[in-house]
Amino acid sequence: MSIAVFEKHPLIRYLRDPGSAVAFSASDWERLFRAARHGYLLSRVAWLAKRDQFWEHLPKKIQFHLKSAFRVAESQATSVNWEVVQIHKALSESNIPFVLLKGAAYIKDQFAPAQGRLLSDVDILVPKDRLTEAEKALYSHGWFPTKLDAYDQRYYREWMHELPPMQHLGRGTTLDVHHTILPPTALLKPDVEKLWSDVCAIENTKDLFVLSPVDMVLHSATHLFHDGELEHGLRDLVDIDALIGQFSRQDQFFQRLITRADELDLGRPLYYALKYCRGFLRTPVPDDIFLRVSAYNNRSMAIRSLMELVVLESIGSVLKDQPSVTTHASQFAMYVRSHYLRMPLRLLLPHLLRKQFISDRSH
Amino acid sequence: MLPGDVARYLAGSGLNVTIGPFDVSLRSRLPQVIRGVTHLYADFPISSVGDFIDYHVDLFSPSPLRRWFRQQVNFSFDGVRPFKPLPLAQSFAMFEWGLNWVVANNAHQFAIVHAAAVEKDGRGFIFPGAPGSGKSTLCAALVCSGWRLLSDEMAMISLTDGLIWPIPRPVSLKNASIEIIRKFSADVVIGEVVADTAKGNVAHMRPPKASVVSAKIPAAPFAIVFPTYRANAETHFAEISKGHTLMRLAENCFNYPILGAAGFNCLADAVEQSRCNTLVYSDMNDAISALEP
Repeated sequence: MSIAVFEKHPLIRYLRDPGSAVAFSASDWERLFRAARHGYLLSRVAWLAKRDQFWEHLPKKIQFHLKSAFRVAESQATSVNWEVVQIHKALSESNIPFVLLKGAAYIKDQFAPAQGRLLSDVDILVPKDRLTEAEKALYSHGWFPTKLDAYDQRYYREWMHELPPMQHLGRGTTLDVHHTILPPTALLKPDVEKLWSDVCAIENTKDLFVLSPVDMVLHSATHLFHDGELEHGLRDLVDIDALIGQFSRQDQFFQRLITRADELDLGRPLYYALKYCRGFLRTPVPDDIFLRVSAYNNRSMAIRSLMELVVLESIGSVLKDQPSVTTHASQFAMYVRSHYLRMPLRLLLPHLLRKQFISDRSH
Repeated sequence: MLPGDVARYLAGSGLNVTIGPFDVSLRSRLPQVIRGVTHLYADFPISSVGDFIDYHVDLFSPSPLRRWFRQQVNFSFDGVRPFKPLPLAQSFAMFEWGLNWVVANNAHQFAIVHAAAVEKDGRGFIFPGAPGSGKSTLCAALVCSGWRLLSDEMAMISLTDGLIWPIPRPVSLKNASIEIIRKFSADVVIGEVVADTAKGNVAHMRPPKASVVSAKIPAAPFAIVFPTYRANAETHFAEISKGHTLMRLAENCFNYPILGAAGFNCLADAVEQSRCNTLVYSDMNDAISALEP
């Protein structure tokens, strides 16, 4: 399988060249909507139609749906901004600095992926030595751990790079508090201190930050290829594509990106991100840059082919009109892989076995 | 009108039905769904070939094993399954509930109020109400008395023109209401009664053909009435304040948090142009004559 299988999909055609949509048939639109709803991208699709000013040329019914999707993103942006104000209020009382990550960062500080970006939770990074204090401060402002059993609580605290997810009692919003970007047990060892040394303060604040532009791209890549189950894979590629589109106008951006990836031990996730952004979305990455980053792809041929297959299946799963057995298998493979990258086998096997058999009981 | 071979379409590429402003493609091999659709959607128009289908939904058995053992039904929308499976007997009801969910979560060109809506002489009536307030029963009785059904579950008020856009579908009746409506009207068509759902016994009433045929004609809001069924009570109509009505309408609006200011303005306009009332009733005919314009 290669990326070519997905190239004809209307959503991929649209993301590469939104204006091509004026020639879409009804069934093209149906396939686009199905994939975009599945992949949390419909609001982005709507925003692109507005940005490129062909909205008026679309069929009435399509305009209806895009308008509807646009409203969802607008309301989420409002609520995320409010959420950030509340988190800031809770943490600043104890003088705890924090970094907004991913969706919340894009939306709060108006980075390119913000427009039409949907999100299910807010992610923040706090210094590890302030973690317990941060947890207490958040408790006292209404955030509580979601219902997790003792095993899950211990699993998060011992092996993960974040606290168990918290939910606000009043607003029902979810908050993930991280102290680093990969679990301490992971194979890659990015140094979180280095991220902190480059953070940028959000206007008018002293203790509310976002990652530096290169680190923002690297974090998104790391999250996508080493931390997740690729369920929002295409959406995450769209984020990275938009960030690159915005930052590549800066002086020497790509050179700095590679140097930084090397410093942080994140060369491989960067390679995957650039490879699949180019493949799926035609992100303009200069050839010489891509060639240099390819040096990080130093795995054996067999591993490389397997990775290619599994990534294409997982990211491409939202583009399939019917889910297939290979999709489920690949998603499971990515799930296992993401855990394998995060923890050694002696920890991983008992964990996966437990998740496989215990989680079924709750049904 | 539905084609004769509904089952073949449902099992194949899907049965494409026009339901109010939406074209919905439904796929299912489950006999409960085939019977329900054949029986209760008989008068609905089929979408034209080449029309854009708004929502694709699928009702199916979760696993081959489940076809034989503790049979279940699952609902998917564009390949996503928002719910846990239900017992197989509730298949048709799950289609109705699932479609409510799809519309409430995706059609933000409307303020969608949890309410029954009917029309007579060009006047749109909205009956918001908590479950158990008797709004569906009242709605069914009105519809059986010649009023036009706009919706029994969700009043869709357009953010663009402020009108109630009809989405007439089978009317959901619960528990005692099923018998009340059977007795109320001789020629009412009611589908299979499904026992022991989360809402008790549930059955659906076929919407009148006249309402289905005029589903593309919106109605202007004329009255917002909060009904309460109370055994042996005298029919009692009371005026309530517009401010209070707006607050209660907002509470009952599924997508109010998403719509923001546009939603507030839409509901405020609807309230502004409407009479606002509460209605306590026990006798259906009495209640209906009180509502007559």
